[in-house]
Amino acid sequence: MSVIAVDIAQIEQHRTYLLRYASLQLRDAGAAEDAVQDTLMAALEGADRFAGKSSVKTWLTGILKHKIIDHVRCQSREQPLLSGDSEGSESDMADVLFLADGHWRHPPSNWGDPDKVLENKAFMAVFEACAKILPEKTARAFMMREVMECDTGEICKELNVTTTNCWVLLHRARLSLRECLEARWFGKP
Amino acid sequence: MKIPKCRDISILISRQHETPLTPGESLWLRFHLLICEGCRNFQNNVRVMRSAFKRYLDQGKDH
Ligand SMILES: [Zn+2]
Repeated sequence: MSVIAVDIAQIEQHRTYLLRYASLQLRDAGAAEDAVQDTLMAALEGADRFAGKSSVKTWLTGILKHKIIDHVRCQSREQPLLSGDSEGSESDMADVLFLADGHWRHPPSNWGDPDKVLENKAFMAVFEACAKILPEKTARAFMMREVMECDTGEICKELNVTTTNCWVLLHRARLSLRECLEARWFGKP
Repeated sequence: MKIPKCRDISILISRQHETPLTPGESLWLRFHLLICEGCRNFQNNVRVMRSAFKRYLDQGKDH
């Protein structure tokens, strides 16, 4: 009897996780579905190569990461990423969030106990909505950093931006996501 | 060098997650955080958002 290191059921149970991962990055439900489908197919075909050195989830995530990068590459060839200007420049956004003297216009508030916040399902729904409305290029850099855990070098390469530009995008992403959460969740009486 | 304001400090708070700050930058950051509640909150908010991504992906997983 042949021993298969991993079976269909083991692979299938990670579908939801993979779908969340892909949809944060691709922002298009169809493309995310496709990437996950491709990943599961590739995993099934390569199941005998799964070495068992990492968890099944880590192994699947690794495959998905490649599928997403391929997709992003094809897309940027067909339709080059918007240049920085069309998303509003860093200074435009900072001018809204900071006063001329460099102080916060509305200083960030204390969000309380992080564990308590993150356990709240309603908060996570708001978080998802806020993450999905970030401008495209900003979001792409941010998701590569926070979801795919790429380093700055990889992000610069994929997005074809300088290191400084990359830091600007990530800073802007954090400021924007924070504003959205503050307005939609923490700011509520 | 002019004294960094919240706007500059927020850049450092973000960038420290990508690359280590220079000793001078770390010093400005530490000093500023002692006196500025808004930036202390921003620093914590950024940490919460980083954890939220992890938590979001792992939601409702069936072990
Ligand atoms: Zn400050």
